[in-house]
Amino acid sequence: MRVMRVGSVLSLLLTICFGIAARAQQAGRIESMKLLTPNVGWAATKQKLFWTTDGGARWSDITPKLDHKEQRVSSVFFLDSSTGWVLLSCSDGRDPLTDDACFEFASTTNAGANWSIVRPKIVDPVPRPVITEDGQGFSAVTFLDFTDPQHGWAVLKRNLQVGRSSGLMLRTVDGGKSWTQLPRSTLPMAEHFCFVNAKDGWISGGPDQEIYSTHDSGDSWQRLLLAVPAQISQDLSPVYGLPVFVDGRTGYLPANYESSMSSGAPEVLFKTEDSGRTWHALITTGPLPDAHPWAAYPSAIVNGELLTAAISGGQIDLSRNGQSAGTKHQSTRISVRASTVDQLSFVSPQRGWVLATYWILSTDDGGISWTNVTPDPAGTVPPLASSDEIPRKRTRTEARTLPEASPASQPAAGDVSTHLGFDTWPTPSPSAMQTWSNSSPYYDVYIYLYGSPNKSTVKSKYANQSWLSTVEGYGWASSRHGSGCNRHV
Amino acid sequence: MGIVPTWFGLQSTCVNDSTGITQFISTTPATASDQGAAQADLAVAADQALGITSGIIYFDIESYTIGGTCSAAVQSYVDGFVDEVHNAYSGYLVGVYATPAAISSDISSQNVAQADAIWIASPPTKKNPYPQITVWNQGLSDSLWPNGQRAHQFLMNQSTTFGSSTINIDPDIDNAPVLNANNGSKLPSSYTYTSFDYPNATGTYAWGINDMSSSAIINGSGQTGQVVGEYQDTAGNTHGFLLSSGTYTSIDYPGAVSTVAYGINNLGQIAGAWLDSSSKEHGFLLSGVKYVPLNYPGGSGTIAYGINDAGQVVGSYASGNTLSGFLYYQSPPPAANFFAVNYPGATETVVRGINGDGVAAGTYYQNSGYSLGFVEYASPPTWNGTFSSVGYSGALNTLLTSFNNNNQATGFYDTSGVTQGFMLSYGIAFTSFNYAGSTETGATSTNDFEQTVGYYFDDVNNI
Repeated sequence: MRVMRVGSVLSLLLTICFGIAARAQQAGRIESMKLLTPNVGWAATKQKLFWTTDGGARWSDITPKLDHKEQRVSSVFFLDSSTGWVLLSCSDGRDPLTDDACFEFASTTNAGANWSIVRPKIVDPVPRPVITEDGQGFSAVTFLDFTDPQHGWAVLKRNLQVGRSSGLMLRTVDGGKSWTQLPRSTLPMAEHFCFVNAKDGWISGGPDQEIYSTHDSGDSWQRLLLAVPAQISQDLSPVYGLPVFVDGRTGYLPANYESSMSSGAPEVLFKTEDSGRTWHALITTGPLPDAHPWAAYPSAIVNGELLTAAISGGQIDLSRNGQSAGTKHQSTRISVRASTVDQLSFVSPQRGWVLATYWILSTDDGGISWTNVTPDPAGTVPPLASSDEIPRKRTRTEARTLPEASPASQPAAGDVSTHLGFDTWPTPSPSAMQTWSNSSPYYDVYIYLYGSPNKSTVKSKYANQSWLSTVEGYGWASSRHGSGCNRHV
Repeated sequence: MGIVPTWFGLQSTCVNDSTGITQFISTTPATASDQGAAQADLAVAADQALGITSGIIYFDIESYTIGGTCSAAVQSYVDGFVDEVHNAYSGYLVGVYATPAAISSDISSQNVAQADAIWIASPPTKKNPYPQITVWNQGLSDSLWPNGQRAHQFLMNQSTTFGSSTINIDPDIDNAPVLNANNGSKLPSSYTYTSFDYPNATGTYAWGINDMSSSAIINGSGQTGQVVGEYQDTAGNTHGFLLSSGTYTSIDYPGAVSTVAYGINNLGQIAGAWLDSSSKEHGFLLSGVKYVPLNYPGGSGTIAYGINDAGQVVGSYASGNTLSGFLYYQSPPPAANFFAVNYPGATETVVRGINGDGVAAGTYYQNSGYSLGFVEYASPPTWNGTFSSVGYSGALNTLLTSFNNNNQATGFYDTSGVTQGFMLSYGIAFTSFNYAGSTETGATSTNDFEQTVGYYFDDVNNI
């Protein structure tokens, strides 16, 4: 009798699990996701790319057209709620020993309503059909990052035995229309990476859990060595995340000091105030009991606080650790049977998504309650026009009668430059800006906006979008997309 | 490298130079406030027309006669402009360009919505004829907008050539928000070395370099900054020197047994040290022909190593057998203030350089006896700061010797008996210097144009 009861409960559970699994399989397992603004985000399976403009209530399928059924959505990167790229691997049934370096780049500037697709010629530097210790061709594992509409990088990982990591880096300076293959020897490993601007980037992970930095767009990489904080046992070795910069100087780098001796791992947040030149340990948490051994702990950095999440007992534990004491929120019970938290994406301390096993869960209240917003392919709608990004003008507020607070003494938000700059009139030619980019000590250029009432009305004397995008190519950047390691949260 | 959108909006009817100004701020405050809001809307729209949807916009208030209705109108206009940006445009910041007097009197007024940053128009004057490449000490209180919120237009109308391109510019030093400040870097790919020696000296060490070619800021066409240092004469005595446009001048503190000039700012002020007949070290600040003695109160010896354009001097002082760093700040006159600088937990601290933003660099010694470099971000009024440690990868000792306005440091490192100089730029990029054929190379100072001086054995100097 007793056995029977357990059996029926079990079979009921199995039915529920199979039901969910069947749906998840229909949608394909969600491999990655990103919340770009409070309402706009994307989610990708191996074969589909979904887009939402209402926080996940409704999703549209914006997958670039795939030529072969074997083709995979390998990496996705969106700079903002309109401009993005998808790296497609196209193992199309041909002999992997003769033609496996096949990747396509799809790019959109209208949130996936249209895609342009290019297939760059990629030369596998390893002679084939000889199979070397560098493995046999490329895997479908890739990484993709852009810092502005022009500058982007992709890393293609080779098919390798466990414990090895190598691959190729490709670079574009024209928004993905053309890609340059960097020499094989330059890339220390083929792992997650990000760039904070057109030159400075980091790559982290690999069999030895290292982090490297580049200051020449990926042409060369140097290993970054960070002292183990005094509070941490000196024989522990860290798993580094990637840095997140909140302005030109200030950035944060999470590191998880794992141990085979204990189930938990202390988490450390390093901070830089000099553009990544030097780092100091900002906070150290005690061991996180639910940390996954051997895996980078999923974390996000919001307002200079380290956010980590884990699932226990059907609830999501969201920990925040800033310069003051940390806090831990235990959520209300979640509605899905997720067992792990694999990714976090937060746009504010309150608003974010987690990727938990197969499901995307969304919170509006800093992690107290979570809603399942996983795309359901049966319920997707045709692509919607984006976006909500352009700040809307509001009517002017009523004139104030109270005196203002004392003169501003809060740190300026935004990117603080500590360089030489210059203002000039009329706007210099792009060729002068190119020359000055390389040969002058000036870093910032003050440009006058067309329409200024006490300036010339000759429009051609002012910068326009074409001037801006041209000089951006020379390093004078104006766009403020939250991209790469430069996320303005 | 950043772009900085700028709006040349309405101007005061009391504007000092009305050339080309056709649209004015109303002298009725309520109207002026509405004009400010309307100008903010236009400025943001112009920014968005360029595809920029967030970040800072500066608007320009040209110099005007302060007081009465003139001030009231500007206050209302600025209040309307700043408020509109803050209330209507999420993600936007707003800065104001104005003279120090206008900022002190009107922009910082309690009745005015506070901008996120100020851009100070403070070029050289007759009274103060040298450009000051710093955002501090510009005729308004340093407690206003102190946290990365200041840019300073330090010169005007300079026809300036780099490469083959000439642009007529107003140069600025920024410690303020721009769009994408951290985009790109300007690391040169190669260096050239120039050797020089004080005439007839047996040894020459260069310790400091500024941005000035005698009286004008160097403009990139083959000019080098003024260099200070020390040389040994044939009798074995040590003297300081100044090298300016190819001419050497010996520097000797009155009555000193020996003198060394360690640092020079763009005003030509020199920081250094001299030894008295009882072998006690004293610091000095040489301003024109006047020597100001610098002796840390209660210290048994003082050396002044670096000086910035605000006249802030850094160095070290001995107390018993221990060295500590110091910052000396002559503000407000006549009070002279020494602040001790000690790297937390270090056995000894020496401060070698300070840039225009008060960022100091130096060396600290650990219990192990080995040294590391540090950078200290200090801010007024206490000039207490946060420290970052710097170590050259694989080196036994790292010393930092200067820090320029572009956040570049110079220094030395040694690995078991070999000493080399380096420059540390922006990111984590170390550039190592090694003068060909030398046994030891040290980099002692770099100016804002990446002209670096130092010394090498056998024993001269390089730029």
